[in-house]
Amino acid sequence: MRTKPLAKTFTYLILILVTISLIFPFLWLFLTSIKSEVQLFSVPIKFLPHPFTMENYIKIFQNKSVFRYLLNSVFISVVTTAVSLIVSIPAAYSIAKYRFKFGNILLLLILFIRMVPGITQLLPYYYIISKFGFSNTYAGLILIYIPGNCIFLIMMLQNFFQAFPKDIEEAGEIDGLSPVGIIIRILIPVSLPAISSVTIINFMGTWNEFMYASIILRNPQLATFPIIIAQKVNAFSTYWGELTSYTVVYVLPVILFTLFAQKGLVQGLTAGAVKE
Amino acid sequence: MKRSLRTSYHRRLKLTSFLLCLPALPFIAFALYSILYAILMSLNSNDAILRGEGFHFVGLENYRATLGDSQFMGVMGNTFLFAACSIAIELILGLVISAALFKNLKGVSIFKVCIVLPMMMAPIASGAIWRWMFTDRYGVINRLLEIIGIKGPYWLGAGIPAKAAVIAVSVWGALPFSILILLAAMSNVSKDVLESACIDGANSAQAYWYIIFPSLKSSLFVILLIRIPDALKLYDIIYILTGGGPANATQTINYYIYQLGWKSMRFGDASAYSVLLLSFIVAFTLIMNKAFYRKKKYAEGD
Repeated sequence: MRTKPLAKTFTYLILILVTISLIFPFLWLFLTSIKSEVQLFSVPIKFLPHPFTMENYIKIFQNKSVFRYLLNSVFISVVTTAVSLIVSIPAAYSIAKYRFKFGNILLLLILFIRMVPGITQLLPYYYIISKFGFSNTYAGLILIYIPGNCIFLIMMLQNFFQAFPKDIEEAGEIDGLSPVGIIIRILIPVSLPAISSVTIINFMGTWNEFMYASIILRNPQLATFPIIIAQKVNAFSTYWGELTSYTVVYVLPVILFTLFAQKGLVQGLTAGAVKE
Repeated sequence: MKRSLRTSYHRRLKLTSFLLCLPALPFIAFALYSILYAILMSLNSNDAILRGEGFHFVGLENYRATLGDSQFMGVMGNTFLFAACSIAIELILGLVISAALFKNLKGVSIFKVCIVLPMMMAPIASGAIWRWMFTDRYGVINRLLEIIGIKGPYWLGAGIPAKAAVIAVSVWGALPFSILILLAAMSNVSKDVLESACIDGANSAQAYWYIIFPSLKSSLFVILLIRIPDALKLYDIIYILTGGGPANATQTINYYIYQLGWKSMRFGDASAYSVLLLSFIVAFTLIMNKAFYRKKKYAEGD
């Protein structure tokens, strides 16, 4: 299709306008974090900080807890994602390959559980976790994260694995590989792009999760970043400078990662959705 | 002999397939158990749950209380209003923007990268920054409006502006998803068909209207299938942006359940609400699936 110059200008105009409005909150987040308290509350507001200040960052990094929160978030997300992957890959492979009644029923159950809103399960999870003395622990939160992640991973992965060429699999069988051997030696290496893009999305979901975390982790020592951000917003006096610098620290790795892994991410999101 | 060999092989395969699923089974069972538990709790009395007295069956009392609740209509209304408005806006903007991106003009990849970003942001973090932007005197949105000569409302302090704010934040977070799905679907449209349309003298508006947009049906369906349940579960944004206020103007079902349970300690009622939410989502999904696949079957002449 050839595009006329007028249409071209118009298209650019739309794109620029949309991009600015989608990006602006990030920009404002950053600008707020390098303003002093006085600059934040000047009327009319100033768009650019003059002079800019690092005092908010210095403050949160002097108070060592920021590292603690980062570590909490990383630890919980990594363990949850790792365990979910390890148990989901064989199950997804089994459902995609063998197609027995058992696997089909399992898939139906998974599709049903996928529809269930998190809040419906929150109270039972909370009760069960407390009963076993896991409330206020990493283990408790990770334990209630894993089921949802498994459901998502199995659903997405079995879809990918169905397209996995049978010939390769059979070649492995002839060479005497066990099913687990096939998974480790053939399936995972060949479908690594698909697995990693689904994993990224799964990881981001855990990294950003707030509702379960805020109910289970009451101890501020264990808090993940979303909990801290929510705590800093207060109806009466919010320290916006501090809050935004916390948020920048939290979001920056995500932004860098997005820029870096954008392609895989887009693939993971659109996979399955567009195939039909 | 041959036959028994085959059945034993079959049995072995069956066992293997079961063993491969085994590690995941406890977690799936845990999820299933929690859902059954929630249904049971919705039939249990508020006091029994609170005091941990076990099961005190009250029948459908909690559901009756839920439906008779003075908040019920408002909460439902808000939830569906937010879902309908934000998804409608996402679809319209999504179509326009993905069509613009699809033109593959120079520098389009920069736009693509920027457009993905909001989706990666934690809803709680985006809610926080938007809350600051919506602030009355010190907020940047009202300042920008002032520059173009509009007096901005007291965004989070009045009913209708607060609703608009919630919708705006939801759209901001979810628009990238619609754009990506639609863009991917557009790139699947056969290049040959587009080229032959061009040779036949179709202009680009006609190409979009007659060729590209009609081929997006199943992607639009997928977006609805994912976004409707998502939008009905709105929680994080409400929690941080408005807290359900002012005067319950932005109260959604998910946030209301949290308040009923963890603030008013009425866990039975909260469970009843959460089972209702679950049944809405299941009903929606089933109806949508049925409608879509029946249509598809007709279209394929089946």
